[in-house]
Amino acid sequence: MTRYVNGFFFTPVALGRVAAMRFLAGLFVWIEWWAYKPFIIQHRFLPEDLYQPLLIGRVLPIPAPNYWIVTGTLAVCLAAALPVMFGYRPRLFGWILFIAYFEWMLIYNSYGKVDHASFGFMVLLLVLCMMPAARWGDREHVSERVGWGFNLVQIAVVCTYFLSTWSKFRYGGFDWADSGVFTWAIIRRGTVFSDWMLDFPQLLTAAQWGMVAFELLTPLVLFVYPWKRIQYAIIAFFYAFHVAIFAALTISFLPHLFAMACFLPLERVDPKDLARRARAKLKGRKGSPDQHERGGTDPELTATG
Amino acid sequence: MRIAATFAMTLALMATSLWGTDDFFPFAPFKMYSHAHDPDGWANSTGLILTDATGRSFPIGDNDTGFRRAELEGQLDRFREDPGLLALIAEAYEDAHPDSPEIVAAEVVVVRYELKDGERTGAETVEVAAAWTEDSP
Repeated sequence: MTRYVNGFFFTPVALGRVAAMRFLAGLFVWIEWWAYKPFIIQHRFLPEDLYQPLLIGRVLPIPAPNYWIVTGTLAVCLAAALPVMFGYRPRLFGWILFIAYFEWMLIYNSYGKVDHASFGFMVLLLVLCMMPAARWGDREHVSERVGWGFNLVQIAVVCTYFLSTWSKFRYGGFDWADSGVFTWAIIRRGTVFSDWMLDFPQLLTAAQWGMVAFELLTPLVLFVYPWKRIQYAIIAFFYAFHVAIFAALTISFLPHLFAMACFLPLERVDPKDLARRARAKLKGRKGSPDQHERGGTDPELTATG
Repeated sequence: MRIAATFAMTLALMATSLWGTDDFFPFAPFKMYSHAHDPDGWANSTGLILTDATGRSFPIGDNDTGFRRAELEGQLDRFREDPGLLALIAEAYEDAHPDSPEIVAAEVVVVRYELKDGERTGAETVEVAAAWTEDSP
């Protein structure tokens, strides 16, 4: 039992995953501003009167965004994301990125609507600052600190599902699952994949019940951590769930999906090794001596080749 | 210590989910699509319509001014009370589209669709929640 609890928080994780997650985190920052949430940068045109500072924006001396603050914040985010992606002084630039991205999120959420898909991603940026330098594909060096950090991100990801059900009960009441919320959502944001469902309200009600059940069950993914195959299968299901939601409503929770990647054994991905192998294969086809070397490990291949 | 940090984050999230508001960002309740909608009520959809100096009227989307529909709905009461705020939207639009004709009028339109057992009946109402024209005070 103690071992289980200890393992829950501190199962060591290979450093290769840190390198991969840093790359993904930076990549998302580069994708988000033009492809995913282009309106954030458009906030630079909004007059101050429409700015509605959040608590943190009122407590801390954070100025109301204007053209240059918005543009400058984005520039810092993008500039800091590059060294983080490629592992150059990843802690220093990680902190810069975290702080700039937090301000970016304040610009995003301070005009009358708060979105909730980014919590896991912000936690990811924070814990990446505390992790050691790492290189791709490193499966030899493992770290409890890294395990703890990713566990924190994973909990944040699960809370995003699980606690959203609490919110549904709190704001929508226990009748949420019997209400017309999906009809409302499809009227507002429907696609060719979902508009037909408006004619089948019972189906939508069933889907609402399914959603509540699914979200309440998500913490299981944390507790099955000793059984990796089950955990990966559940994560695959989560990704599939988001593909379906995206097809129906064009809502993708992209930052959440990037943060969720830290469940996966990304330390097994080594771009340099992959490139080497691809090159070896190409050369092999041309009949270079490289083939001999590789073939030696696989007698069946040499026999047929 | 690290376990304490984990618990602190989780508890903070749980607490704000139960009692907090969006104001506590980043520890805001995760209330995406959390409001129940009566299957026998009205579903609404809010839009912004601008009119330019050539007399052309057109709806604008989230990326035209950066002011999203959800943000408009979040501040809708302010716009109802003071339709003059629409001048700010027009200003933002002009800044974002310097080559377009000047904006002379703007209105917030709320369309409501009637639902019966979760299906649209076809009945709808259109309300102009706020309207502004260049010369109005």
